[in-house]
Formats: sequence, C-alpha cells, structure tokens
Amino acid sequence: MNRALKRRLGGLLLVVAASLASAYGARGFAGRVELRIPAPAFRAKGDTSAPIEIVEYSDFQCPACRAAETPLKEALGLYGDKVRLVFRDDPLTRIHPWAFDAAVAAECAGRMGTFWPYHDMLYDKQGEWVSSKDPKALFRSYAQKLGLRPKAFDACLSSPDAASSVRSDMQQARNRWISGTPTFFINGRRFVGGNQFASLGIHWIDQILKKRISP
Amino acid sequence: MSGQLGDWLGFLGRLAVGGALVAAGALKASAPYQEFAVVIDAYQIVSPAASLAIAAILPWAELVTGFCLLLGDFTRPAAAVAGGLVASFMASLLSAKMRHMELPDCGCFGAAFHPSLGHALAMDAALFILAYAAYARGERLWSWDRWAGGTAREQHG
Repeated sequence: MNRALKRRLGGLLLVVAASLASAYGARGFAGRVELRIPAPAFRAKGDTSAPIEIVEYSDFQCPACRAAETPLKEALGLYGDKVRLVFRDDPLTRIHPWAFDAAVAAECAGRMGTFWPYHDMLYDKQGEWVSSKDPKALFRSYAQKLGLRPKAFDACLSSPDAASSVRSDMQQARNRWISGTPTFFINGRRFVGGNQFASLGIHWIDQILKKRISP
Repeated sequence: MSGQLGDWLGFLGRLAVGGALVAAGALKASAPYQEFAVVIDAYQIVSPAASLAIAAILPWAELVTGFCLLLGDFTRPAAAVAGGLVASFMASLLSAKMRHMELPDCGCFGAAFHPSLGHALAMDAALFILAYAAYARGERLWSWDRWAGGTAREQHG
C-alpha cells in the first residue's frame, strides 16, 4: 500500500472515529441543555436513582390524559421503586381554555405540599370542573378539601411565580416538539398517548430492566 | 475569488460549514432517532416511514460531511454534499413558511438549540455560500487532501 493511500484511509478512519466520538460526547451536553429547568421536586415521585425515569407531559383538561392515568398508575404499582415519575405541564390552551388555570392551581397545591392528591383530584373531577361556569371556584374548593389554607392558595394563584413555572414547562414541551398530550418520555424515548405507553412503553421498560439484570 | 483571499475564504467556509454540520449532527445523533423523526414528520413533506429512515441516516451524514470539511479530507465532494444538504434544508424551511406552518423552531439542532424558521433560513443561506467557497478553494489551506497527496486540482492539472 503506498503512502498516499495509507494517508487517505487514515483520514477516513479519523472522520469516522470523530463522528462516533462527537455523537457519544453530545449525549451528556444535549441532556444538560434539555433539563436546564428541572421540574420542581414536588412534581416527582420515586427515587432519583431509579433506573427508569418517566417524564409525563400532560394537560389536566385533556380526556386522553385522564384516561392515561390508569396504565400509568398500573406501571408505577408494577415496577415500584424501579421507576421515578416526573410530571410536566403542557396545557393545550388553544383547545382547553381552563387547562392553564388548572395547571397553575396544581402548581400552587404542590408548593403547599399536596401536588399529587390535587393532581388526582383534578383528573377524577375533570368532568365537573370542565363543564362548570366557574372552574376557578372549584379549584379553590378542591384545595380546601385537601386542607390547604384558602388565603395562601389564592395568593399563590394570583402570583406570577406559579404561572411562570407552568409557562416554563410549556416552553420545554415546545422545545421537544410535543404536539399532543399525554406524551411520555421513558428514559428519553417518546411514547404518545396512553395506549402507546401501555403497550410499547411497558415493553421498553421491561427491555431496560432486562438489560440491567443480564450480565 | 483569486489568490490568498480566496484560499482563506475557502478555509473559513470549510470551518463554518463543517462546524455547523458537526454540531447539528452530533446533537441529533446523540438522541433516539425517533425524536428527529417527529421533527421531520412535522414538516409534512415525506411519509412517516421515510421520516424514520431519514432521521436515522441524516445526522450521521451531517457528522461525516462536517468532519471531512473540518479536516479538509475529500474536501470537494464533502462541500458538494454539504451544499446539497443545506439546499434541501432551505427548501424544507421555505415550504413550511409558504404553508404558514407553525413549527416550534427549525428542529435542526435537536433539543439543544432552537433557532426560528427565519433565522435558520438566513443561516442556511450563509452556509450555502460558504459551502461554495469551500468547494471552490477549501482544499488549498491546511487540508488533509493536500497532505495526503495533492489536491484534486493539482492532480488533474
């Protein structure tokens, strides 16, 4: 092999090696940029060291999100401490006029220590508040039922902080090209809708856990 | 373009186009390819099956082309491919603009950076010109091609 050909092949190898290395190196960078604004701790369930992380982008006014709660809860029950769930808001405000207010109310409940019970209540009573003339009054009444102080809850609802936290999630959803809710990311892989989560998502979780067990 | 200025422009073109392609390729190749397929799908130009295939291949094509340009290895073919890629990106962006599609951003850098369609179009137009400069004169300065056995121009007269 002459010297020029060797150099040509060397150049090609260098290009391939640099391509592989940079794709591998970018993994951490892309992850860090993506999670620049982490969700508040109260919107996460499970151990931070759990091998499976499910990030759910959801809209409290969306019927499909409510329906997806069933397979999601089943998965959390099935996999127990192997799974961590992070809830992210993505209220589809164009079609769901009360979704943003509901997300802010849940955010306030979370800041007062009852995110998950309030989250469950919003989905359980979705039919009630969606068809109500004054959903905000119902949001307050749900907070009261959970023992939250009305004045503090109201103060949070009208403060810009809770709303900006929801907006920040909406921006993240936009950055991730989420066009429908619920959208789940299971260790980075996207599953859209409850059915996809229940079938392909569960299969993906099994695959990840199997890989961890096998030597 | 003539003389040293042209050589420097060619070199600059190589670095700029190569760097942009490497950044775009690495950020997309580092994520599951289905994520990029969502972006391609949103442009509604190709079928979902084609989106998946393109999403699996394109980031690696960008990476290899980008590193060839940075290194100055196979400079002219790499610059031609880069020009083709950039032209196809501009066509996709223009088509989305003409259809008044409301896309979150151009989707060119994965989940890391989010240039608007307009900014991406301007960037691609500049990259297209620089790709031409790289094609015309990119192998003259600090290129692997030169070190490995002479540039294409030198070999062919």
